[in-house]
Amino acid sequence: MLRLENVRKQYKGFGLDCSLEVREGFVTGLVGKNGAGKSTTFKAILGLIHVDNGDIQVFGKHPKELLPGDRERMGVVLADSGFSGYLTVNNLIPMLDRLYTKFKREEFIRKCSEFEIPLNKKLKEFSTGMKRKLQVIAAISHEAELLILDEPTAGLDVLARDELLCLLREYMETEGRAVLISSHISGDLEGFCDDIYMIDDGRIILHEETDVLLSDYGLLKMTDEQYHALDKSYILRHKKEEFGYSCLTDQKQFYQENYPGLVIERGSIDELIMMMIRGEK
Amino acid sequence: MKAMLIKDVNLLKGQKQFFGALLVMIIIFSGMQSDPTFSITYTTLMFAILTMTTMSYDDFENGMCYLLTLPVSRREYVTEKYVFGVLSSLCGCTGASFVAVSAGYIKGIAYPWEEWTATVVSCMLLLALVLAVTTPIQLKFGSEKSRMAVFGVFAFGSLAVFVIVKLCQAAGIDMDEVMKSALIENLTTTAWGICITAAIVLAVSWLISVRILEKREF
Repeated sequence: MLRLENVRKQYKGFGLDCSLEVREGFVTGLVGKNGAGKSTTFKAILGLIHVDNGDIQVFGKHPKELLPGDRERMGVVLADSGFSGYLTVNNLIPMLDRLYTKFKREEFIRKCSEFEIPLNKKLKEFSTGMKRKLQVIAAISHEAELLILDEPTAGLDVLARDELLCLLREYMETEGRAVLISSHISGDLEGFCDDIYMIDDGRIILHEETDVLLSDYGLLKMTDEQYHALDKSYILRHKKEEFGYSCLTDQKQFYQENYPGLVIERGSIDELIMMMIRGEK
Repeated sequence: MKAMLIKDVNLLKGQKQFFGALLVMIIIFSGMQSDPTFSITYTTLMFAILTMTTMSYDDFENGMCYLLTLPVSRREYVTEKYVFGVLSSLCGCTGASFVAVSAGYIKGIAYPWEEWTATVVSCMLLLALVLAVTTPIQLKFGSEKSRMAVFGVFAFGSLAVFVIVKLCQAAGIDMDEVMKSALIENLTTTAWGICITAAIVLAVSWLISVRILEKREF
């Protein structure tokens, strides 16, 4: 559904060099610290910036070749942008009705009421969370096949985040759909994504299926002596700590079987990101 | 394009105070003056400037970025702005004409058809110039920076007109006579000339605006 191959964009002090793929039926996550290149990647996919090199294919077309009909097949949430703050939800309804041939007006209104989104209030008076919820509801209300969601859960409390993720899971129950989502809340991605790309300094530093990440990846904690005696064949990153060393491995079982004295933790995606970025190779 | 027109109309609905103030001003001017030229021209210009306001609203909190992810091409967005500008100004012109003519009727002052046509035709040229200048500038520089740029362009334009008038006077050309000849004696020819000029100016400006927006990054 979506493929980026060696997409490059050079800014002053920052360069993007990214390859990723979102397959049909998959929820793909993009994680990384602030300024890692997540939003730039999303903007490249949506044709909002011109890339210097590489190829982007959305539904088999370059973003610039996408016709309004193709764009109808996409639903978008952007971290730093949305509908004009001078409009109300009631103003948006006829506009969305005209924009999308498959817009489900009644469902949109029902979901707005479910998420307590006022219909007559100007959007500039909405909280960040309300704006996000509105964008997500708008994105899924026209039977889009591909959702491009940049930080859709930012600014939401735990309950609202859970409700929104339920909504997205429900969306994915229909075949032939896919989602590319970025979030700085790893818990959202762990429970929702099929595979995860990790981006740092504009480059993809890791791509793995979430199940594999959670089952095979682990954090080893050890003393200096244990570290020097360790077989480092399956160590991805290491980091000096006060107690000795922390190591990230993608073969947790190997160390569990061969080094029973080591402390081996499952490692959350947050810890994984920290090790991948701050650890040494 | 219809969706964008709906959006802009809805954006204008939030400008009730502006429209109220404008209506009051037209009524006052129409009541005070026997010649409604100023009311019609002023209203048409105000409506043309509203197009600029809708672009500022689109740009509010980086909103343009999201707008262009919707099923709207950049070319379509630009086209809608010109269509909206012309349509809203025509509405303004019609409304102001109606108020002015009604006020004249109440006061028992007739407003000749030719004079009205000359005013409307002049308004059309002014409207075309305002749209043609402000739209690409706003698309290029955004709502904040464009204010100074637009001010600069119109200041330069006014200065250019002033210099031309002075040069004509120096050359012994009577500008009042020229205007009288163009707007009264040869009104039909002038009207067609102005319409064609306005269309050309808008077409060139539209091409520039499309190019600007297609190149712009968000």
